[in-house]
Amino acid sequence: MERDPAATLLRIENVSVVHDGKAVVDRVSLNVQRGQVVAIIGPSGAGKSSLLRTVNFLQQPAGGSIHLAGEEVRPQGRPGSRKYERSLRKHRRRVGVVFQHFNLFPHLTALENVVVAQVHVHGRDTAEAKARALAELERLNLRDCAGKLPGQCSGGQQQRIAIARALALDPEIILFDEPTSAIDPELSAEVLDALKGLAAQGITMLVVTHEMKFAQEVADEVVFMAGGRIVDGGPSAEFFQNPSTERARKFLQAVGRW
Amino acid sequence: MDVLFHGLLGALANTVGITLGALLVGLVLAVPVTWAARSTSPAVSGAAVAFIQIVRSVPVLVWLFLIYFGLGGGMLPLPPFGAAVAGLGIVSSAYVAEIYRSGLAAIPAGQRDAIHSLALPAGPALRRILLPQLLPIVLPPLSSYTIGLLKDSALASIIGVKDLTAIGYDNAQTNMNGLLTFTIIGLIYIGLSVPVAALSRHVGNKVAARA
Repeated sequence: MERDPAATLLRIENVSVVHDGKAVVDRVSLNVQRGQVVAIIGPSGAGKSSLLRTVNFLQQPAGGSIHLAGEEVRPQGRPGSRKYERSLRKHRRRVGVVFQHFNLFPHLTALENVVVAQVHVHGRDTAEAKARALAELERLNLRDCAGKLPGQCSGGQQQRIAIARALALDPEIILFDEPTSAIDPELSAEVLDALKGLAAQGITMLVVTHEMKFAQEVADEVVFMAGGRIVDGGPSAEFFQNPSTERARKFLQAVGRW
Repeated sequence: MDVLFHGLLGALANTVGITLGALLVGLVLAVPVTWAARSTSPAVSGAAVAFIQIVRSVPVLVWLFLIYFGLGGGMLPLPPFGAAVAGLGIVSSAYVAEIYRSGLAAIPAGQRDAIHSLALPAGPALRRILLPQLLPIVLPPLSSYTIGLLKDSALASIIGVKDLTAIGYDNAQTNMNGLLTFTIIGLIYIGLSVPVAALSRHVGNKVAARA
């Protein structure tokens, strides 16, 4: 797990998340190096998505800290208040997110979905933003979708539009929250291929996933969570060969990977 | 028509004026009320929710009396027309705030997650993302409310506004034909509300066609 610490892009330190008085994430620490793909796997309810959402404070951590490129992120004001959201904008510009249910803007075309934040967040002019959006859509094989509304596209296409939307903002890291869980199995391959492509280009990714094949083939590191804690993990090849804990072994057996 | 039905055009103008005036006051005033009701500060949101509750719990006519006879008695002299617009406008703001609030609640939480994760500032997020999705949700209840408001505007006749209802009353006193007079008045109210419903359907269809 230890590499050159100077290359650590994201450091999650002792982060906890509490829902209804119960710690769903319990003092978890995790590092992601620049250019690395880290997969978070584990049973449902393990706290994987909650942990992921703390990275850009869509979920306010109850304790612990988030560091990006060596700097701690400190939101101001009451969680959910305008001041709070405003204070996080600088951090969030650097972190892309791809959601399980895509969360595209349903009234905007695919192209407009990819353009809107470029214009209002990065201050690019419309022509420049459009050109960039088309390039990203093309890169993800979505040329024919550009003029369509999300509802007119398949699940696999919608998720790739969401990836294009994130990429167009040049994030330093992209968080993926179960990116294929809401997609027909036959269409999830096109999303996984897109993720593979990004990994090959050296884009830093933190991916919560149930796709063991993806974790095994694409991720550099695997983190296995259960009951709100990291209970196992390591370099992906080693982990899938020989998980060191009984809990991880049981999980991998249950999903037919061991 | 004005010869047959004394003062009809002026009355029509008063009814339409009160309705549109009160609607405008309500639509605008409801924005800060909604904003306050959604505040993360319990004091601010509590005050807004209390305002909505209080306004809706008191009969509209009592609000009109309070503003016309109460405030108008000395503190803030208002002509009947102005008092009617103010009273119905304040009442509208509470109802419209509830319409805005339920509309915002109907937008999936994932949209807010997307807005935040893209770091969209509040202004563009509202203009480009939330309002276009809010409009088709709030339009039908807003048009129903407008039709209700048109009918409530008849209460202004009690504080002395010469609106359709008041003119109907005056004419019935002189022509001694209440049935015919108020049938005509009723038909005029119907004639005014039909376009509101039609407009709402038209805009609704247009928005639906885009989605």
